[in-house]
Amino acid sequence: MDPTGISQVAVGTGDGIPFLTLLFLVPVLGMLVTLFIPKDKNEVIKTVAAIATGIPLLIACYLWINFDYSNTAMHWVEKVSWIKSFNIEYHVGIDGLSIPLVFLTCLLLFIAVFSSWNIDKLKGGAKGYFMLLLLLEVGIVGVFISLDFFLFYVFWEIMLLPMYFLIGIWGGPRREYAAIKFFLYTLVGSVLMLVAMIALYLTAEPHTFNILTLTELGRNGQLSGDNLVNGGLLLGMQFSKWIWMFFFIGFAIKVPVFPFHTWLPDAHVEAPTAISVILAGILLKLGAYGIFRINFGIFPEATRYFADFLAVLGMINIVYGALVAMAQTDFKKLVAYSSVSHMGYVLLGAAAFTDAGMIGANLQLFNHGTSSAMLFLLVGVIYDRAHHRDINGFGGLASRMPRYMGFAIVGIFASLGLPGLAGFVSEALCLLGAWEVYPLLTVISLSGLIVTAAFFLWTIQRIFLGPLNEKYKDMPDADGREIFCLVPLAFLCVLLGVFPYLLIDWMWPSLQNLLSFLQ
Amino acid sequence: MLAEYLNDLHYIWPEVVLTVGILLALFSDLILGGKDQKITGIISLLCTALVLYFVLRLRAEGGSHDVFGIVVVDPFALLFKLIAGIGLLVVVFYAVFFREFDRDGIGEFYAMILSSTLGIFFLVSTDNLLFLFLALEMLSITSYVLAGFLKGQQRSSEAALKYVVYGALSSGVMVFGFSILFGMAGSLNLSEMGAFVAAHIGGEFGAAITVSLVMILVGFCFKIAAFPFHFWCPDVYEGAPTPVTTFLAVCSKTAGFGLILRFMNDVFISGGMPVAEWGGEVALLLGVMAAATMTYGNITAIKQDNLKRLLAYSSIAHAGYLLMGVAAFFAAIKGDGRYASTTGMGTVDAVVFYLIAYLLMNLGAFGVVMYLANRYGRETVEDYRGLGWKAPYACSFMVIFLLSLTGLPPTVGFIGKMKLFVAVIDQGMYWLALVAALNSVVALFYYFRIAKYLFFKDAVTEGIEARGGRIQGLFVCMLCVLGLATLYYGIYWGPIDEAVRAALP
Repeated sequence: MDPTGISQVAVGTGDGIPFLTLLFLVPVLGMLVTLFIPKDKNEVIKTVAAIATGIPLLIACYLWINFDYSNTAMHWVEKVSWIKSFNIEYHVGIDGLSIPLVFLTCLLLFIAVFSSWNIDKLKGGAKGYFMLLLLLEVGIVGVFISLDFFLFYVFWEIMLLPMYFLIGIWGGPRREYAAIKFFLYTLVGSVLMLVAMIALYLTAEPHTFNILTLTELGRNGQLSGDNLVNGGLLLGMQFSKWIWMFFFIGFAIKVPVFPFHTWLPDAHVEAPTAISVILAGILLKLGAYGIFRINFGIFPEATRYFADFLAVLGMINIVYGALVAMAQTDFKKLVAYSSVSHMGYVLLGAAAFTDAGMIGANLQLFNHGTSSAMLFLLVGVIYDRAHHRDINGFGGLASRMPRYMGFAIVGIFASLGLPGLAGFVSEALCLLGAWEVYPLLTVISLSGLIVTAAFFLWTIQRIFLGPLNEKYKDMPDADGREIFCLVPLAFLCVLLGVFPYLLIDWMWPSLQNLLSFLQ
Repeated sequence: MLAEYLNDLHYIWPEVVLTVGILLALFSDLILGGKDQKITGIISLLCTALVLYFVLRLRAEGGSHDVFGIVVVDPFALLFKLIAGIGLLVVVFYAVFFREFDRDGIGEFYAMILSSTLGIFFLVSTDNLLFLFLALEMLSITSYVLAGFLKGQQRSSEAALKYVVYGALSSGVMVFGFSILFGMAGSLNLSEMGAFVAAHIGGEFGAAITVSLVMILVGFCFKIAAFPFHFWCPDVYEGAPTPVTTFLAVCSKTAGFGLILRFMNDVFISGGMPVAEWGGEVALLLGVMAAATMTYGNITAIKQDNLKRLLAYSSIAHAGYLLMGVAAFFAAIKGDGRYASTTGMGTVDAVVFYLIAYLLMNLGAFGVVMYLANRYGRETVEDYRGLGWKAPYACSFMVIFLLSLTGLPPTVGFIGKMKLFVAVIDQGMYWLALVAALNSVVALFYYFRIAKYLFFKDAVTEGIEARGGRIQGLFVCMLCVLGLATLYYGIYWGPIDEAVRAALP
């Protein structure tokens, strides 16, 4: 293996079947097919959407099973020259860092189709909705599999458009505001990323967008900008640190890291259920993935320089998110702020550069993806019935909706970190890893954990326990379709709580490789 | 002698056809007695197609030719003729469908717009200062008339008057600059002037040369509506009939940049200008101007409600982006006296590429505006409420054009913007790239305000009747072609890249 630990040799080529391309090509085809279906044929449209998200899910399962996790190289690599004059390639592949997220994406998109099965009863109809949903899948999957920076950026931006329309057309009362706020915030990050990406491209000799090559160059210290005018010192800071900063802001807005988080409550609250699920479950992970792949991967030195800064931001996220969540009476807003808090663990754990912290951070990405997706689905279920989300407006639902409550308990306890469920493992590992390096920050962060437990338990109490609110005495329990959406997520929450190594084994070699340049 | 002249004629066939087209348009107007104007439009359309054919044939032949000693037919000129020709084709197509042109005596419009294009064709293919000025005036004067074409409308007349006053002033300043330069250099040939400038910029003529160049720059900046010479632009764009607005925004601006690039090339590169100590300052000046232009255009566009006015401000912003490339050009020649920047991607490349992107997306956006005005009689953002659900195809294409105008992938506008960013970042002008990047965010806000009204709002008045019938379906086909081109070249822009590179010396 070469000294930088990056091997560009492909493994598991899939016998000539371009699995990774199919991951986003199938949704594209689904979109095109949907385009030609008359708009009153709702059942056909929904079936096409289910198939177009189902096939990628099957592929993702196949990839998961056949993934050779002992090898840190990229798997199922496809590489074709695209634009010669810019040295841009169509270059995709996945490793331990991206495979859990690819799987999560395919799963949640599939669930999203079923959770929005009744969308055709709303204004706008099913046709546009499902086309945009499929486009969203194209963008998200594309980002996780791209190994060419240009490609990465294109997919990153493709995601924004469907999100904007999905929130803006099918969202709640303040949807227009939320949609444009989401778009503007993310775009600020994206354009900074674009500038940084081009600067990086021009600094690399020979100019390249290949992320693997850039990683190699970065780890050898060839991207520090020493060859630039003034030794790369711009306004008193080294070129590579500026680039790191620009990338970080771009990704931090997506995570979201305090103080860039203000778009999140609006977008989450106004978005329709399925879109909230995708937002919380995957979109937030994109930011963190970007930080790991780009910031940690390409700029280990700058990352070390900014480590304390990251840890402090993580701590703020945890405590601030939890405290704000505590003050919410809107169930959806509460879950949204709890996401801010949960993403803080990722930053805190990763910033420590310890084995436990790094594993915890990446595990947390996946686990938060399942538990928060579940919570948003649950909010959607109750909202469909009661048409409001005021936590104080319910009471005693346990007797009316036992099945619903069962899932809610799993989701909420997984989220607050009850041992035996997924959230516990990842959060404990994050804190454990961080403790070695930042004991003080870890102690402060623990208070966030307590606040989280408090507001979630209080929520359970207000919604499910106490005397039954007479208004809801005929509330039907979760139906088959809703349970179908919830079961896989609940299953993963329990499974990964008991057997976390099912995920850790897949990620560990890649993470180890990443860490070896950070420690 | 005569044989030589006839031989030379071969290289200006496009111009000859245009001239014939002008005459045909005028005569058909007389013959038809101003009755069925669509026929005149279709004749013009065929002429334009023929012009494009000849341009393409000349491009295939290649080579650089000097015609009559004043017209230069080289790949650069032909590329700009191609851009302007495509623009003209689409504009004439739009005009045939334009509702407000459905009346008698409108045939002159086609004669005028063809004359205007003739001006553009000569403008981008001459190295003679006098001829350049004549061509520019041919373009300008016909544009003034075109802007005021809807005689009955006060807005249109106001637009024409404003255009004339500003235009005359800036032409005057520019021609004054020309005359100073000519008086010193004693030649009208751009390259010879360049040689003179190169030899004397550091000497006793230095101040006079600088003054004259600044005056010429004023004239050019007026043409491209760069801040602070943009004041005519919003009023003219709003008041002029929409096909004319499209023509001004697309063809006229392309001509302006073609002019700037040729002037730069002939005076600064062919002349062998040693601008080492000078290029940096010009780059800074142009950079500041670019930043001011795009910021002003974008910020002002936010509060606009009339679509044409909004697109006018947006076109000012785009002029700013384009100027960024020109600034990078000067920064680049400061380096080693050549404009091939270190990446091997010329800064001029980026400008021309962006012009092509700008052509596609602006033609498209104006097309949708015109379509919605034709069909539903709506022309303000507020009035667009819920139209997206009534005209889903046209409005979906609008979203593509808006994406491209904002500069988001996968559209050709994004690639253009990226190339400009590469050009300026390569010259170390990080601040300019940053300003431009943040400007896209501002741009997003007002562009997607349109999308918001189209799709997010419920229609206020149900049952607005669509006018125009089935024939408007053809219009949507044109929008479809432009939309798909915007997407296609956003994903695979190699062909445009090669065409641009082949056209530059």
